[in-house]
Amino acid sequence: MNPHQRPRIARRSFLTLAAGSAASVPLLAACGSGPGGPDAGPSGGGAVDVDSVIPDYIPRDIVTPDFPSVDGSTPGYLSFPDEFVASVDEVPGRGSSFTAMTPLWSTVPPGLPDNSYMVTVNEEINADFRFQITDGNAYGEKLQAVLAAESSVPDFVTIPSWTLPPRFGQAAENLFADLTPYLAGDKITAYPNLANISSEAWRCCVFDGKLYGLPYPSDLINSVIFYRHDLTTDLGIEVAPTNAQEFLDLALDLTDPGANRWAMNDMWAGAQLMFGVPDKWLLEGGNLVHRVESEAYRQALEFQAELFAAGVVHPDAVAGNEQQARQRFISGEVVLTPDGAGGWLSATREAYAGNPGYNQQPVPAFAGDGGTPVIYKGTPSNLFTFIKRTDDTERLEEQLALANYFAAPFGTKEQMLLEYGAEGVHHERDEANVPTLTETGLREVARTYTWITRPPIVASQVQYPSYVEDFATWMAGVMEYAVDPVFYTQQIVEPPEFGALEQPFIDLEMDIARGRADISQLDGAIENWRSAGGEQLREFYAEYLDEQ
Amino acid sequence: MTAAPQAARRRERAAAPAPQVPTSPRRKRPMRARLREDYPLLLMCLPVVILLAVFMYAPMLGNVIAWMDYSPYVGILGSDFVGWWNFQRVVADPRFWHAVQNTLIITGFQLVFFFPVPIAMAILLNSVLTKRVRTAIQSIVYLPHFFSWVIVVSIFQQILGGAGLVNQFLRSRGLEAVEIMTNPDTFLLLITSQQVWKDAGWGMIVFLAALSTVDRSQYEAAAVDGAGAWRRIWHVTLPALRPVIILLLILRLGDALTVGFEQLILQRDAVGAGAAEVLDTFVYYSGIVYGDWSYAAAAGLIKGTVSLILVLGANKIAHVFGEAGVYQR
Repeated sequence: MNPHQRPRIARRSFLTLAAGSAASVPLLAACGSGPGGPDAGPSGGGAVDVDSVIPDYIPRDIVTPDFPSVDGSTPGYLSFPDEFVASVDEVPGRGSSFTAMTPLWSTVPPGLPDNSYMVTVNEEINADFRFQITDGNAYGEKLQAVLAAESSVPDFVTIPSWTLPPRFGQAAENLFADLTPYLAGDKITAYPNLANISSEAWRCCVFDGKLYGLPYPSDLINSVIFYRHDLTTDLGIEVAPTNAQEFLDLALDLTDPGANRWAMNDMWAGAQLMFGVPDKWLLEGGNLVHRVESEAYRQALEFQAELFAAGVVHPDAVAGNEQQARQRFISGEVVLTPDGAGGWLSATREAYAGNPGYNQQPVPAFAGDGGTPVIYKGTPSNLFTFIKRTDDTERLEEQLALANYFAAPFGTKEQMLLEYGAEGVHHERDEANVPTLTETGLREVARTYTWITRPPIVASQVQYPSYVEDFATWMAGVMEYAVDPVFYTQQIVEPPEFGALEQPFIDLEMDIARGRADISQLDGAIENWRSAGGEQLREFYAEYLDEQ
Repeated sequence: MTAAPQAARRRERAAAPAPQVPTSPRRKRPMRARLREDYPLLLMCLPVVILLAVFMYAPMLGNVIAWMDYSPYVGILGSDFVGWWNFQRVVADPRFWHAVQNTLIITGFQLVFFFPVPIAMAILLNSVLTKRVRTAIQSIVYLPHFFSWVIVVSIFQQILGGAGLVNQFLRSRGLEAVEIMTNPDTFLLLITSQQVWKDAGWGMIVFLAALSTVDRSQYEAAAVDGAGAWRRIWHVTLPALRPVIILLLILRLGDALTVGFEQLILQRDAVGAGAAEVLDTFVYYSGIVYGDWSYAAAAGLIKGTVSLILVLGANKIAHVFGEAGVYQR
């Protein structure tokens, strides 16, 4: 018997009991809107055509890129325009105050009133933004606690796609504003910068058939293994492995504990990349295969265990310290690290001031078995920002106008202000109009406003020699291996009882890597997964598959 | 002190005011009289009562979610009752029992290897005669108590970790590095020594206070009777400490299922869930991280109930052996 059938009966009787009291009014309202519940199944999302709730795509051409996009790769600009244009006609804010919860994977900047960057931007947009910045590595846990009490939910909540909490369908419905009536179709024309964001990115923001989120346009190739090109050049070691064995040999060459240098951080993301482990599901002969059941997952785990056993992983990474991973890479204690594509820029930016010779490069794409690499595309909107539900339409429109401001594309005055602060205070420009952050800028300018939404992603940081060219050509090059995952851009809200289903694997991945568990224990874990709800989960997803 | 004379004394006390009470409104008068007499004491209790009510008893009502399929997004009113379903899931979950087992192992180990350390230290320090040396030692061993676990674990990591001082030294001598922070087999030793380093000095305070009440002449008398140092400890010092030791032991038993949440969660990834998953981390992961709040509440309730039984049981045993225990009947 499915224990989840009992609650529904209990809920009915409870409702009739409570119907007399005033407290039941929101309760009934919550029940009435059908598709919100996780039990609603595919009909919830399928009843509404996703394309009818997302905004029209109206591209804006401000500056033509030097490296145009190839199959969705990130375009690059080698120079800044002579004149920055204004993309927003009027000041977007009306003097209201807003709180926003955002992540950050680098040093947290000073808050108001000590942060002159935020003071300047707040004045410019005529809105008082207060950011609650949380370490990105601990974001998911903080988020659970914040969302659990409605009164603690800020006006804007940024949620990374990989930390969407369980029962998010309910959260969206009860906590956040439905943006469909404001943005769907041609409504978007009121916000031209938001209309400049691709339909793929918007599609990711549709939950249960309604548009809830503001997208954060992201690099389509998001998982990369980086190496310190400056260090390997000094060591005279070439980094061009063509299979897993060569990668291991390279790692052994790079490791020298006596010199306080190890080859890598925890390479789990990298191992999954080499062996083409899907994010969630794989389609084999028309059947859904979960990532943990896949052969690729097993191979990646075995290789991961080999790396740890070979002693090429930094001891602090072995001890599970991920917070310092980037720091170890920047300081040269490790030479290889997996990271997001965006990490290229943020690490370079962090390292460059202290080490102008700093040069990180992606390890050229290769497959673990030496064949053709398979790289699953990352989600076109890697994070979302949700707006707290409000009955105040004017306030909501103000929030959307502000989002429109934050989405100002490259080459605009707004984008310059958001990325580099004020000229003469936070950045200086050279004769080619290229901005360089001043000391104040380095301390105070951090991604905050542009978590809420940002323009289509481009590489334009010509301050770092060869970065734009390297980045844009690298990504254009790997797009030939890019594959759409099953359910690409589709937001499927899983029933909550499946929330902890993958938990044993997270522990097992760490245990197998560190030799505390044997790879044979994977079979038992898969068996448990199947009987504890994995098969039901597969059926749940298969219904969405039939719809496609 | 045995139970019998106490009970007798209580009877006496209860009987004492009776003769003074006039006959007619039998119940009201003594109450009012007592209020008039004791109101300063009651007022003094009030802040604590309010504190307990607001931060302990009121949140306890939230435990009702253990019988629900609770979702924070619809609230307690909107969630469904599911009876004992969550408890059934907890009891059927091997990960829960694994956490219980780890918890008990850690508690048992620390009872034997941590609990006596402050006692021994107190006795040792008490025998140091120079007051200045004694105060200096006291300050030094108290200090680590005021470090948070994050700092303690970092210090251990910096010194004993894979890239820490000890291993750097070993490597520079061409020796094999030792795995201390990431070895699940020696994890018990590691966390216990961390605890000794952090809290043994602090735990000493109570025992030192108890020792200061011992009449010096008892030692002199014992020495005159020819008792050596060991016999003086055995016959004078330890009996003086006994009520305190028993009190703390009972309190410790009540906490038996609570073993350093912060300390363990900080090091869980380093040694894996196999060695470091205890009840508190289990509740945290299933509740906060995976959002199964009801399930976590049920697991927490089971833990609380068992702890209560342990305290009551231990107290009972203390009474049987004629000790005061935590409270008296």
